[in-house]
Amino acid sequence: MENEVILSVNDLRTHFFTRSGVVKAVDGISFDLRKGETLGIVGESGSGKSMTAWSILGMVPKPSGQIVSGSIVYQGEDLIQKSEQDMRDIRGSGICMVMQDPLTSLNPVFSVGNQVLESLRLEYTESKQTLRDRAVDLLSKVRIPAPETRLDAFPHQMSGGMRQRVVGAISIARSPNILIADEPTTSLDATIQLQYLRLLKDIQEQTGAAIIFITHDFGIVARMCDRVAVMYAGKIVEYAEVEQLFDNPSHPYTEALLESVPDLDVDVDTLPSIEGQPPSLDDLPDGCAFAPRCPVAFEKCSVYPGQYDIEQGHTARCWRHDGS
Amino acid sequence: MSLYILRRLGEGLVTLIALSFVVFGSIHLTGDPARFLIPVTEAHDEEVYQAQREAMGLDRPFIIQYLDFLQGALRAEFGKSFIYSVPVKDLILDRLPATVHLALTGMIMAFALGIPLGILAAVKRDSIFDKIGQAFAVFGLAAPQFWVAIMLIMIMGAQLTWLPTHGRGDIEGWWPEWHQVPDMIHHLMLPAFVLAITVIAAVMRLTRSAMLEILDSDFVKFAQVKGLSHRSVIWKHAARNALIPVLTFGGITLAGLLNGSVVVEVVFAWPGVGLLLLEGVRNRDFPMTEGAILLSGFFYIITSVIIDILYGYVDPRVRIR
Amino acid sequence: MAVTDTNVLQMTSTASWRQRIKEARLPWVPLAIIILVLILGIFSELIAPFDPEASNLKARVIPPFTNGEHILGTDILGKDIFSRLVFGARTLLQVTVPAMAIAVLVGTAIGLVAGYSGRWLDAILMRITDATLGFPSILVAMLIVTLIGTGVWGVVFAVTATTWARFARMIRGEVLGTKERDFVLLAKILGVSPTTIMLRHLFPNVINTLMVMISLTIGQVILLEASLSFLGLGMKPGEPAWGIMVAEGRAQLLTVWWLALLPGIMITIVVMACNFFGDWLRDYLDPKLRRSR
Repeated sequence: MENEVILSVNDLRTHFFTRSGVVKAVDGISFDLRKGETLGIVGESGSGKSMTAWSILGMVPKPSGQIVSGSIVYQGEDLIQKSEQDMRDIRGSGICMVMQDPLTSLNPVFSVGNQVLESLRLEYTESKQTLRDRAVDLLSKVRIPAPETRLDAFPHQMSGGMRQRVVGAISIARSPNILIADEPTTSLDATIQLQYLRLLKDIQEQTGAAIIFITHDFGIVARMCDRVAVMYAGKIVEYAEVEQLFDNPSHPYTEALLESVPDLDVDVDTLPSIEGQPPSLDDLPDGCAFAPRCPVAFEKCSVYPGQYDIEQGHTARCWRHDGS
Repeated sequence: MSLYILRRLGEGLVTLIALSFVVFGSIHLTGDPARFLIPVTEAHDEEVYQAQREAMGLDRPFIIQYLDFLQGALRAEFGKSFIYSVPVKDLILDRLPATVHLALTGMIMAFALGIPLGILAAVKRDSIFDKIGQAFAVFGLAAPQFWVAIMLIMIMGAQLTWLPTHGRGDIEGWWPEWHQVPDMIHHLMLPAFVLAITVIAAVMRLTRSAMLEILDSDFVKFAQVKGLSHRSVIWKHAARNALIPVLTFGGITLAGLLNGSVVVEVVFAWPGVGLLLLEGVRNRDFPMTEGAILLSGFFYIITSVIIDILYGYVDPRVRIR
Repeated sequence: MAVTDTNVLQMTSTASWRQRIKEARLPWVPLAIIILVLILGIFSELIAPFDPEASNLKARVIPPFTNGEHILGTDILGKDIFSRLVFGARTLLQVTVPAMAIAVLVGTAIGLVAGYSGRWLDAILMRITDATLGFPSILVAMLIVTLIGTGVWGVVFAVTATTWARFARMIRGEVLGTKERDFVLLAKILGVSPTTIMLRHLFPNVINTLMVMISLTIGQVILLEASLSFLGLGMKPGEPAWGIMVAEGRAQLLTVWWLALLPGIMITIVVMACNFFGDWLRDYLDPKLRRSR
């Protein structure tokens, strides 16, 4: 059952122009996001996952960064063409983002309540008391105990898990259609992680929002996502539904990633890992970027591979699937 | 919070006492006030010298002299000036308003100009505005205040006679008459500005770099992600955090102002405590020197304690420490 | 407008010598100025055409750039200004070098001891240091001058008294950071004496930060000296010091205005050069330090 597409990214390229060359942080990626669905973007650090999110939000660091080509279509309009003022209207109410470290996401000199109310005030023009009630309601939605007392607390007075929920509350305060979560659980303890993920799922069910979940953890992908895009060196190397990816990984990088997740039930002598280092983004090879580390690379890989269909809804950028 | 305040006050007190000891000790250990006051003709007469010493209480043990001094200092009694033969206290009180007016105006100017300029420079990074601002900052921190003062006097006095270059006008004491206020402001402009220049330069630089750092931080990005307006992000979120290091700097700027006031008062013939202090040092007028240094030190310490306490209000994390 | 630029990439430097100098982006102009001042100060006799204290009543009040012999003009007594400026550089060196040296020595010693001993000795020393740190330097300088009198040594000690504290504090901080490191603990276990540990192990690690602090402080020191001379608390009047020249110029502002202008320009330029150099040094040493550690 396919819902309507609310975000469509086409051949997005975001480059940085630095003294030492052009860094191609995002280099031609395309994907669709459907209403109510969760898309996972997986990859190592430096693969371009976060920069994709910033590109969507129109917050690519200037002056060296620029979206050089492609389109990001949201509600029928290309976000790249929009003015800063228009983007500001979309941020928070249409598309919102949660970042990795909740402590640094919150302003240390203002109380938690102040920051929640700030968002609410952008959306509702009600009385102070009504807004405060809304804030309390929001905090309880993210399962913060005794929310009325927490409103006046400061970020440094809360635990990491609670802070991340506050950030979550702020981000859904205006009921955005799209929520981008950039590694939101990386700084949390394992047990808290689980609670947080469940919370996100609940919120999604309640509000019908679509989520883009950026992570490097396949366990989270398995738990949370409907579709997955695997990124490497600024490109999407594999794009599929979750079951398709796990059952039939079709790119050597995906396979390697899946293999490197240790299985708790099996004893091994050495932990598998991927040899080599990710390439530096200003000095990319002409062909497939993964070729230097790929166990099954061959001569054709020195030419940039196209996108091949593996099955319905599943593509991969690898010469192995080139019919021949 | 109150614990923090008490602690800060206590530290200030200890520093003050230490200062009084140092000042008293160094002056009395090296100068010989008695010999100083004896008329030259009798300089060789030992008896006269001894009598003088006794009269001044200089033959008593050091500690007693010090405690005596301390007692007096607490009441701002420092004895009579050697030169003016008038109690030091009166002299200082007489000149105090001038210096305070000057220092306050300078401080206000410095922060009122420096902070917004610094914020704007950070926001408009690398623009012409920023470059000019930085050039000004570099110059302001390198040019000697006395020289800038003199150059301004030259320009103001000779070419553009907008502002007066000497003295304080006919104003006396703390509160001028209403009709004197414009004149007072006129006279304050130039000296206060010169005083403020170094501070403006430093504050601008500091604010700019604090802002730049903060503009990069996650919570600023998050504020943008929430959809807040540009103005709100910069002035509410970023600036407030940038103020923290700048306020800390506030205490240091005070030292800079006190420093500069001596020189500025000299150049602009501003009848303040700085000028008095200079005369005292130049003429080896011990009571004057002691009194002026202690009083200035006192003001410095009090102000930095106040700044620290204010800092506790602005940055809630500090209170818990 | 979106967020300001962030550093996206780290430069992977391939090691050629020449490239490193280029990358270091040495501040040539400030460096040249500093070297120039050094040369002027050291070789004053060779460079200055006239004796700075020799008055020549036949050549009074000559404006700058009008006379071949006296390039920068003369003052009311006919003294050649260029020569006075040149010898002023020497006075600058005569005061700054000893002052900084003593301040650094004293500050470093105290910082090392405080940082290494810890506990009550550290606490006491640091209280004293902190109290002195923010104190208005002119007041301290005046106190010292009252004690010692005017002249070169008065200024030297005044400067020392106002600057030692920042060195003490910085060194102590570095020591605290370094003393827990393994090679120090090893030395302790081996029974090496504390003094040796301080000198051989802790000190070399601290040198970088020390150099940066020195170069950043020199500018302020120069300004303090000039101010003291201007106020008559420094060098004896008549001696060739830039501050004194400005003071003289002030009295004769309408006639010999260049006497006030020129030395001030010199001071500003030198201080700017030192500040720039100090900034560059700090940027150059800092990230490198982090990386090589």
